[in-house]
Amino acid sequence: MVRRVDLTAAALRVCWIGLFLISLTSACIAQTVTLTPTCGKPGDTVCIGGSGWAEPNPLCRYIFTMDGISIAPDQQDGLYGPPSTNGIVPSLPDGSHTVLVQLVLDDSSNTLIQQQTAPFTVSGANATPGSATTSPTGSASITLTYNPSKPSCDSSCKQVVWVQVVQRFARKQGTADAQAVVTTATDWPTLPDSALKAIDETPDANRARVDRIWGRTFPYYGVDNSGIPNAGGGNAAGTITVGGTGATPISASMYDAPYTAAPFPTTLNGQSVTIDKAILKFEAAPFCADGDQVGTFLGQVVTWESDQLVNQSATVTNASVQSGQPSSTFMAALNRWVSGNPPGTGTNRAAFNLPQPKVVQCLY
Amino acid sequence: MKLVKHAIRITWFELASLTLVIAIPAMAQFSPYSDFENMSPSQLASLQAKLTYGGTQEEPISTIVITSTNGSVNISQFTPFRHAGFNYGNDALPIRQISASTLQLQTMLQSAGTIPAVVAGGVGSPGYLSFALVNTVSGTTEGFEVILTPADAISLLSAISAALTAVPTGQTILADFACTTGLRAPAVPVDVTSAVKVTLSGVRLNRSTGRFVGTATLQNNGASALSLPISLVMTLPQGVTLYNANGSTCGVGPIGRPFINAPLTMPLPPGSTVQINLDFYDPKNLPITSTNVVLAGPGAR
Repeated sequence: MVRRVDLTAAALRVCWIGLFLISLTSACIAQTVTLTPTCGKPGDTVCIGGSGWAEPNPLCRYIFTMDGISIAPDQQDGLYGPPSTNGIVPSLPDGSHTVLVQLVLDDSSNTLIQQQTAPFTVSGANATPGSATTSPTGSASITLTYNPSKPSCDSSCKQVVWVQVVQRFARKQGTADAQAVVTTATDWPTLPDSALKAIDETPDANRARVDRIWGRTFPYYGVDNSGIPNAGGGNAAGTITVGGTGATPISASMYDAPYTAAPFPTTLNGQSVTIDKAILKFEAAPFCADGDQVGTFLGQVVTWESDQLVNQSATVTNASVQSGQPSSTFMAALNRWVSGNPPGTGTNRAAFNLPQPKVVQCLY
Repeated sequence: MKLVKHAIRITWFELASLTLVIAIPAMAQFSPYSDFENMSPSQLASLQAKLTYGGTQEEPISTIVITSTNGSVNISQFTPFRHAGFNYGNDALPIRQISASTLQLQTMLQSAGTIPAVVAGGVGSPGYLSFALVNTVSGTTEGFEVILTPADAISLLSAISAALTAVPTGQTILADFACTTGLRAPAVPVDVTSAVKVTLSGVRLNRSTGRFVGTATLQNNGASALSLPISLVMTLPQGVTLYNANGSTCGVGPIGRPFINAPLTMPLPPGSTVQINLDFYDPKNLPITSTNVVLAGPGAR
């Protein structure tokens, strides 16, 4: 519905009414409109708030429009105080638009008392999800890359990082890869900090854990303890590039080159075995660590393996990219990691506050 | 290469042999460790010392190259001096460089030379760490490499760290390398927090850097001297980082906290104080407060 309000003398009338109408004591005080978020695509919810608005005794109401198109039902003033509602982004072309909030009298002519505007960016009407790619398999290393597509909003994700979960399998000599058994970190005599890493494993048959060097305080692959670099930056080891959306999308990449030195396990579950192959199974997913999409996985999942015969080079294989969200095994491992380690000498890594998705919830 | 200086009187057969050696760089002759120990400080200006982790890893760990202050890294010079069967994959990553004076390099070589496994060269089993040296003096390139077991690797890293005490960035890089590779000294430093009064003062904005500086004063209220190194471990508000930290804890709890070592060369006697300059990165201008732990004595932080 399109609201048409006579604005011809609005600016003068604001103060005039403020002086003469009952209780309009704040009519000349600058009123504000706040939008959360300030960017979105048609159909998204936007919270509309504000402060400094008049609180007149006559019946009044707020009217909310974006480029003249109503985006929310009228809100009666006096009952809820300042504007406080949620609107729906209308079908408008990508670009900058204006949200107009008007406080009008409940009379036949919608007499304007106050009004204020706030900019809103409509973007992403034609956006498609980002995509993930992997470098060719067959070598000892792999690079995973998440390519943001056409940006939906400049602020939709300021920092794209990768989270990776690993499971270690061992193939017994004379058996097939499919019969490889899942192991715990402590089964591998050359794995650094294996006892500490075992604490991070899910306490179930999956034995999955976040793939992180011991001592790191972020669950994000490659991010060291100094914090997450800005989009385009990386770590000292050169194994990651933090991605981001925005006017110029930046791909998020991670490089991995697993290697398992000999000797391989000689006992599993208390039984002597001859292990001739290490099979590391990875699941990785790009994650938004900051921005409007904070706390969300970005809809792509990569699974891949690193296979290695004892005393041989590792080979990356079976890399696959799927659309969707990480598996329950992945999430269980991540949840275990962020909960921290139990107190004790050398093991009391603090719990990590994994960013949570923003909830567009208006206070009204 | 050292082979070149022996190739003065060559026959066609020798020339063919030399060509074969050059074509197969992995067969270059290793120089004895003593050759490097005997180099003068001026000769060490072009020294490169490389630490490559080749053990089990699930996340790559970049290689360290130590050079003189004016030296540069040329990783390809190490390639002819490699042992077969070691995983050199981490050499392909960006190198972390530590720059030290030639005197410090000489001290480092002498300190590492006290470790028998280093001097012996060769390949230890299991081999976790490659320690390689390469230097070109008077047109002759000499190379050395030893593959060390975890125990010897820990000894080497401790020796290098001790020799480069006056190189803060080197301390940070070496501490992180030891942490991430699991090659941490097994000794555990003593928690002396209860015997030390820590006072944080003078926190102010350094307008030239945009960071906040301050001073931590540590007073030994205990009855005995505190062994070196003395480390202040800080738990800061989320969003505040210690910019000039020597590393973050991984060997003792609390894990992942920044620590900085007191600038001391002698143990801190009872009643004495030492000041540590602090440099904070605080982009959100949060109040800088810290819960502190003080550690003393050798061992991984």
